[in-house]
Amino acid sequence: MGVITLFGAKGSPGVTTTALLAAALWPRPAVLVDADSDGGDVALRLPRADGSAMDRSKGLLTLLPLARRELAAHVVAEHAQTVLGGVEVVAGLAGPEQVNAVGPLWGSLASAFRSMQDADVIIDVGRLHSQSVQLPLAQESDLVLCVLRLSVTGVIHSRERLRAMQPHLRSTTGRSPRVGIVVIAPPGAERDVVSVASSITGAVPGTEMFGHLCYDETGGRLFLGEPVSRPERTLLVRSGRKVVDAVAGSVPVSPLVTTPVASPDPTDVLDGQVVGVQVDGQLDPDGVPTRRSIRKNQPRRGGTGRR
Amino acid sequence: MSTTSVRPAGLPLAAGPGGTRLPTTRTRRPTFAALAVLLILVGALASAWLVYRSGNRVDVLVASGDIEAGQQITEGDFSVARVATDDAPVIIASAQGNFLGTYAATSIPEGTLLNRNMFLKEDVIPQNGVVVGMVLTPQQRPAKDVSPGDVVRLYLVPPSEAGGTVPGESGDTVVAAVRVIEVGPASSGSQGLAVSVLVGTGESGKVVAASSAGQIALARLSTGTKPTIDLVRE
Repeated sequence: MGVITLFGAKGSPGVTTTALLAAALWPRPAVLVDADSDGGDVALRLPRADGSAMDRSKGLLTLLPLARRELAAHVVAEHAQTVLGGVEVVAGLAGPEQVNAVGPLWGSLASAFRSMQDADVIIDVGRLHSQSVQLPLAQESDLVLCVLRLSVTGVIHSRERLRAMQPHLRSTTGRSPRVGIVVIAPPGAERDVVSVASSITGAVPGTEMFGHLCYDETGGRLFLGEPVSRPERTLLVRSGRKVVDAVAGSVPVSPLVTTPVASPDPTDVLDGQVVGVQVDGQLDPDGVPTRRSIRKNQPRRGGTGRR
Repeated sequence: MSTTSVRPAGLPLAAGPGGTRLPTTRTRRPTFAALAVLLILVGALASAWLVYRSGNRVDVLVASGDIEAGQQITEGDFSVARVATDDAPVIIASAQGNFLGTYAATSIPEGTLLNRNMFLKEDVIPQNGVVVGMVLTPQQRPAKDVSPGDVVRLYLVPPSEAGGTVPGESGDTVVAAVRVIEVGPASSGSQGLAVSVLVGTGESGKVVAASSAGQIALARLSTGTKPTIDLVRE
């Protein structure tokens, strides 16, 4: 399914928090990959769902050696851990030395992410530039998202970075990801956000603006593992829903997803026949017409698939 | 690409429009909520109880005027007030009749809430005491008359007219502190004051001798003074 890569041009604009927020609010199954070029943060910030600390030795560290060969999609899921709240996270590497040391393997990891069928992949690469060893991750993505703050340095560096990266984003298979920005700013700064967005989209043609994420300290503490009361009411989450919906809407969903699950979902039984779920009413390769799922709220509930 | 993939056990379910996978820790909340409810209930109950108690007033007896120790109680000594009693030994107004004719055990200032421990059924002359009477001229007593229950000191004074003299220096104390039992005019029209005091048997002889010779003078002591011998208040 879809792959998106988040990065920040300079400083610490909040890429990891944005990536965690996106993974938490994502309307479809998703896996967050903590590929921060300076070393993974998520395993240090959040505990596992059962309350224990995340295992920092399991994640990209164990996954990347397997990427010497072609990686199957389900292998990625085996190296993910469930954090508090339910997000699946592939823990990051310890530092930039390791990130560079596994240089050539980022490409095969990127291909593995592309071929994952049952979940979207949200990759947090922290910093990215046109000579980054992690560039293949961006090249293989459906969407590359630049997170920036509403500051002079943030805006200008982001703009220059996007401009410099644009010619390098074409992957070896000829695809090019969409490029977008998300601006993090205080709640009242809509006008400044709009002007910043238009200056960047004007300077770097093809860049899309995905929205304004409110700078919210209380909400931010949520993703640092600190207790926050009524998190869904924080400004960060409320503004984040709109942005994440826009981002998720722009990421294509593969037309044919047939997902065998342990027990078929009974609501997908039509006329006594269990059907597969898919989008846009297309035919599956067997030539049998399939229909949308009855329940509109659950876009991806799979019945027993047709092989 | 129609590859199907086995869904591994670890992958998450779709969040859906209303659900999220935000990292919330809500375990503290129920305890605080329960504690808050408990505090509210306790506070509400305490206030209700206080209001109830403050409204639960009864009529009780108070002293309408100063009452001397040993004074016999009459109806005029009582007046009524409304208070919340809280199980204190106050006398409710309807029990007034029980206390008429009793004697005050202590001196009671005006306005005091009366307590059943302040009153005694009777006072009795003790075994080793006698009541001795005397008649005092105006020179032999304070300007304001003594009253029953006062504690007084008796002094020996020189005879006012020729008559038998009692041995002893003028100004000597005959008895240090005695309780006045009764007071009344000596005989109608005269200025003499008839006073009865309670003295110990041993000293009664001196007092009688001095009083019959008219050589006794009386000085009132402060109210709290304890006399050498006192009425039996049982």
